[in-house]
Amino acid sequence: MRLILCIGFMLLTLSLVALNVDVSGQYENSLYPQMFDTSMKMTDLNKLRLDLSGSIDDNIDFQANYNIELYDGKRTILASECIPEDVLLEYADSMNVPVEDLDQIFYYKYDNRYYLDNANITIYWKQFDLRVGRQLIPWGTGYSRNPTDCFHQKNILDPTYDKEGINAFKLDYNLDLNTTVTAIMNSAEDWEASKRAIKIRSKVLDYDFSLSYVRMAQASHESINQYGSDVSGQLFGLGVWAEAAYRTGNEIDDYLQLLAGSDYTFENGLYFMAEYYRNNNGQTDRDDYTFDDWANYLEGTSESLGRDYGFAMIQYPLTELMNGSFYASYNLNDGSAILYPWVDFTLGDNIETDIVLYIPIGSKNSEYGVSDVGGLLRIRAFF
Amino acid sequence: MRTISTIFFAIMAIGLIALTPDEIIQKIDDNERVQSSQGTGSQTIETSGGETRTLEYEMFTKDLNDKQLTIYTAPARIKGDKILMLDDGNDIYFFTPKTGRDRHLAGHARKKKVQGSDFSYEDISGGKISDQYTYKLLGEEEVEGRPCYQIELIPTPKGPSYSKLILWADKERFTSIRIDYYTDNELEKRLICSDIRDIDGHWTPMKMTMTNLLEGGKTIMETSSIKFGVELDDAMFTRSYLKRK
Repeated sequence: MRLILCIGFMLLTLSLVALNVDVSGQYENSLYPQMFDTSMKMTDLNKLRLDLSGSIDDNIDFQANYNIELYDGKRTILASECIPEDVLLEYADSMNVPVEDLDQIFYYKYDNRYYLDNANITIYWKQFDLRVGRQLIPWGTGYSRNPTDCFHQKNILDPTYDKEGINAFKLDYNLDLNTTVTAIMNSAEDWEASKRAIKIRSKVLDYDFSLSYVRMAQASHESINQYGSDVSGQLFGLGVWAEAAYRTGNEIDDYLQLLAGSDYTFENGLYFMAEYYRNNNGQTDRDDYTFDDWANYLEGTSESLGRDYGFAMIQYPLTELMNGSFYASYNLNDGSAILYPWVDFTLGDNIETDIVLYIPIGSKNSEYGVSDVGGLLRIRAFF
Repeated sequence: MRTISTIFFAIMAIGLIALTPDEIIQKIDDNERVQSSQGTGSQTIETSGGETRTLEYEMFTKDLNDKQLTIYTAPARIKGDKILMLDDGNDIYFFTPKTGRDRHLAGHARKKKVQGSDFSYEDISGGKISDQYTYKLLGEEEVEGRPCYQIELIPTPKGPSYSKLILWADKERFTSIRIDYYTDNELEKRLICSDIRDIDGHWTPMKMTMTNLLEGGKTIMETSSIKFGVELDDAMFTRSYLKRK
């Protein structure tokens, strides 16, 4: 059996080479140590990603990657480990269930996964590009968050980590060298449930500027409309960017999300970035965080718990191959923060390493304070 | 006959010596700024600790280097990363396929190292010397076995962030042989151009070595192939194109 598999794999590889298909990929091991009360638990992720890409002719490209994610160690995060005790007690009381039972109902499990991602075909015409299949829709100019991006979730603790694609038809119409109109349809079970979006991007007074509209649907099929805009450029020598999204619908309270950021590189190579984020849908007081707020936030169906956030990052090249960074995210409403020093370096042409320490600050019923100290040790080999 | 030849060469020599700084700079710009180009090359980064990393890339330029597109082809870690420079390097976009996102780098980012090398974005951006610097002819000197003009360049507000540059330009080929980069009047980096070949009428260094004299590392940029005067579509130098495979 093993021999047949080996022969099959060799034949597949030879066929791909013969078809001029570019084969590449990466292997990743990520270790997440995390303190829970007095003991340290660890979750280990082994991930293999195999990328295939090629061109059928000058005007047609295709790509796909296949991913295998295998988890080990602590694979289940219980409600009592990530939601404050007072919120759980209040919820258990309202539901008339023992608080201990909530851990059986609400938990997150890291399941092993095998999936195809970013599998798409792109056709280029003189002024049109059409991409069909699983793909990234990278909207927004923000670093820590992207209010206008309703297609992907961003993890503020690892904002540049690979994101999964979505199934979509995307048509770009290049009006001129600087102006592009993009239409997107994110396929769903039926037309009403699909996300549909249109965006125009151009250059205005040396600033990159865009306007967007997205129609989303709730489970009830009631629509939510999002009107968005983003901008990036330079002001008084500083890099500046901003992003805003206004959501409105019959079954939600209309709300605005806003992000503004700036960055600068000093003569000695020190890089500094800061962002302010406001979500009018967030709470202004930690006592107002409900169980639903926590559940939605942890599931990624709401953007934030609080209303106002500050984010800052400084980075300095420690050597030619090593950067030292210090990140901080601060919830201005509940006073909690998370600090994360980060060192990244390359061990060879194709080996990348990240070492991160997550240090939460704040009371146990606050957004960041609910967690204990954690970390990330990640090594990635590319081939 | 010998007298005529002597007089002829004497006139030639006087003619060369008599070039004004403006004429010298114009000739360097004419040689180094090409209408369009397409090439491949590598960057070998040698750190102060003795480690090396080698990057390979394809590079396209258009409109006298006003537009530049660099596409990294190896190693796999950075394959597909792209750098688009427009407006002589005043507009820089960095694209990485990992996120599918391009970032518009502000002017201050021009000082940053490109992929960890000893070249900064402003070192590899285009731009006319006469637009980016005020200049003064300091004299003549032989460098790397070639007779050179020694020229002091002081950046204008449009120019790079260095406090000054000293350029040694070949007296006959009008190409840069050596550039010393000063920050706060301290010598920070030195560029040596070598293996200079006549390609389509332009004297072109096939090897450029940038040494960081403060940090101790160096980066060797070697051109494997290059063509000038190629037809390149303007659409290649747009943000939309960055997202192409």
